[in-house]
Amino acid sequence: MASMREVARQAGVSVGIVSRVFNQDPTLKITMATRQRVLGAAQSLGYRHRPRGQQKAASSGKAKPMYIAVITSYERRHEVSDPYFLALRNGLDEGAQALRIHLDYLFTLHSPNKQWDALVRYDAVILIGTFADKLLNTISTYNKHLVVIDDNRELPDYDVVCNDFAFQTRHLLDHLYQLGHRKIAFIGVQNPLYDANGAVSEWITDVRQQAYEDWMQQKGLHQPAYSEILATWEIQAVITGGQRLMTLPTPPTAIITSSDPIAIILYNMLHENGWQIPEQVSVVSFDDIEYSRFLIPSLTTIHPATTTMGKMALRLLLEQINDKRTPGITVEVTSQLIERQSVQKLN
Amino acid sequence: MATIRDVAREAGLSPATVSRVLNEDTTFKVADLTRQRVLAAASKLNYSRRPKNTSVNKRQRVNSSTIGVITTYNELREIDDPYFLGIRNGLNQGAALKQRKLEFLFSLHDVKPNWALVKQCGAIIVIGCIDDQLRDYLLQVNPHLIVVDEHSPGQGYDTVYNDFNDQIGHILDYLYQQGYQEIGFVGAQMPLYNRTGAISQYIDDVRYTGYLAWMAQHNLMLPHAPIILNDWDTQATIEALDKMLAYGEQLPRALIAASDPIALGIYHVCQAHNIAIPAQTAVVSFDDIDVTRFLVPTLTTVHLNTEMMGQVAVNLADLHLQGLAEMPLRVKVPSQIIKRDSVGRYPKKNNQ
Repeated sequence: MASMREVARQAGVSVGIVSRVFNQDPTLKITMATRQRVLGAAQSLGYRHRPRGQQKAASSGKAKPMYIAVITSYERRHEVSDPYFLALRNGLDEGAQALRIHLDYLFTLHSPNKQWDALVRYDAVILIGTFADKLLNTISTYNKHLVVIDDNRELPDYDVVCNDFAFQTRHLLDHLYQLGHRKIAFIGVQNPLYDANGAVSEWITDVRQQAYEDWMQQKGLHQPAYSEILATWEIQAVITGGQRLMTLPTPPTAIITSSDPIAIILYNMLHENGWQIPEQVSVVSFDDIEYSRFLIPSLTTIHPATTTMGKMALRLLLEQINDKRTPGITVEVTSQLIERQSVQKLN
Repeated sequence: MATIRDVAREAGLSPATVSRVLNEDTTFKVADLTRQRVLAAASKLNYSRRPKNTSVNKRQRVNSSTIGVITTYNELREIDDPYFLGIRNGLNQGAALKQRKLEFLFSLHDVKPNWALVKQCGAIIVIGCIDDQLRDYLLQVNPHLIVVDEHSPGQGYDTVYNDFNDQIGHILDYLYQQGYQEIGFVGAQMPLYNRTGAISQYIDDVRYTGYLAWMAQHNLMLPHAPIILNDWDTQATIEALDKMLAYGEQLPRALIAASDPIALGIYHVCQAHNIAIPAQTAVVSFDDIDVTRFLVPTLTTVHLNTEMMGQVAVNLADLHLQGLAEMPLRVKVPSQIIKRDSVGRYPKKNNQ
């Protein structure tokens, strides 16, 4: 439906004039010809005047509710327990409510029954996680309006929302360096790319790990022994890996863990073996889950802007649908460093 | 001071034509040659467009729902530069879509920029590269700042940038796949402007740093340094390459030009010295400006959607105007490599 602005533009007058014509402002002085132009433009554009006060309601009612499907690459077990994913979901739900969007969490790549053709019926699809290129291609044949959340790879054909973990990792390393640390280790997990069946089609390097290795190389501090990359999120693997690092001939004085749950397991292992945090080893992490501030010592960690990621994803889809913008932009949101007690200057 | 009539007389054209060129009337088709005549005459007479509305009027029209735009370009460059024109179109399209008022406040080169307007706008978009002091000053005056063409993260405000850092890697991969290993680079430094519109420093642009990183990683660094010009222009390229050839050096088997005007210079020198493209030197460039369609062989180049950059900048500004901007966002806009005829396969059987 046409707006007053469009009527004004067509008639060649200001919005104020159009408003006063339709609100029958007695103080308005215009020629008959001009008045005819306004009324003619309104008629040809199908403008329907609503009296003051109802104008706003009319324009927000213009947006019909939208239905958006959500597919994730996470395993069911992770979805339930992964605080990062839960925060993302919260952001999406919050944003969706404000924008009158209905979200349907359809399935994960590990679900037994994946009804791909259901995607056709939705206005748009949100993908959360790392999907193999071929799979992304296939999904785009079902629905053109896609946005990918939480993939740090270069994906120029799709709208992407991601965090700035590469920058944050470098920032953490600069911070540790300034505090005197040179022997800095990293504990992370391999990053899988999933195919349509939920199987791993490829392993890619986690963005934090890549940033860590590049930074260490550039500073001439790189030691392959300091990278502990686990295959999975198993508790025992973290314990074994952590012990290996601390029993090296030159153990690290600072350890970066790619997520808080790993830091928690590491804390346990360090405490049991009598290693003091931060006096003997500083620990810094990513996620800022609820519990991280209750650890002893409280954990310095990176708080990702997951809520904003969810909201931005919805905005990008609206731009594609309403503004007809071509997809392909990558929006990177800024995380926050939460400094607590687990990092210390090197003596 | 020169008027449109003076410029018309100097160029040998009607005032109407001159006016339309200088006011960027897009409904009026002007031959490139005519446009050049106008710009040359205007430049010679030091013509400067007197804004139709005085600053006083602008103050009345600018408020917290206005998006203000500041540029580092001077007026004549504005008209001539397709990169800037594309962004400008994108800004206007974006503003129309979001139904927001967009005002081009001033260029840093204006004699008396009205800085008071900066504070009154709801959000500010800066086009062009500005130095740290100016950025800090602007942020202080108006925290709702969006800067176009800032590549570095961690700046504390919204940025919109192109993916040239990724594309330089893809171009090098492509050349390498085609068999090229001796790959040179001709680029220019990026000027940073300060508050008075003067250049306060130069920085390396991402095409150059990306090129260096890739070459180092693949162990293919050339013995002689890449050519970094003072200006992004054709004439400077020709002079630099002529000098190189005069010293008896040869052009490398592949050359990456950081922008099409530089590629034009490479083509000119190759033609003058009977160097065949791509048989003796392959050429790849950035920008995909119109004029390169007439080159022979057609130029392989990176096409950037500058309109999208403008539109994205407005979308970010719109978030600020709605009070929804929670933290700085960085938005990367994609470009495409358009493969044409200036790159072949590195000839293996021919003499080296």
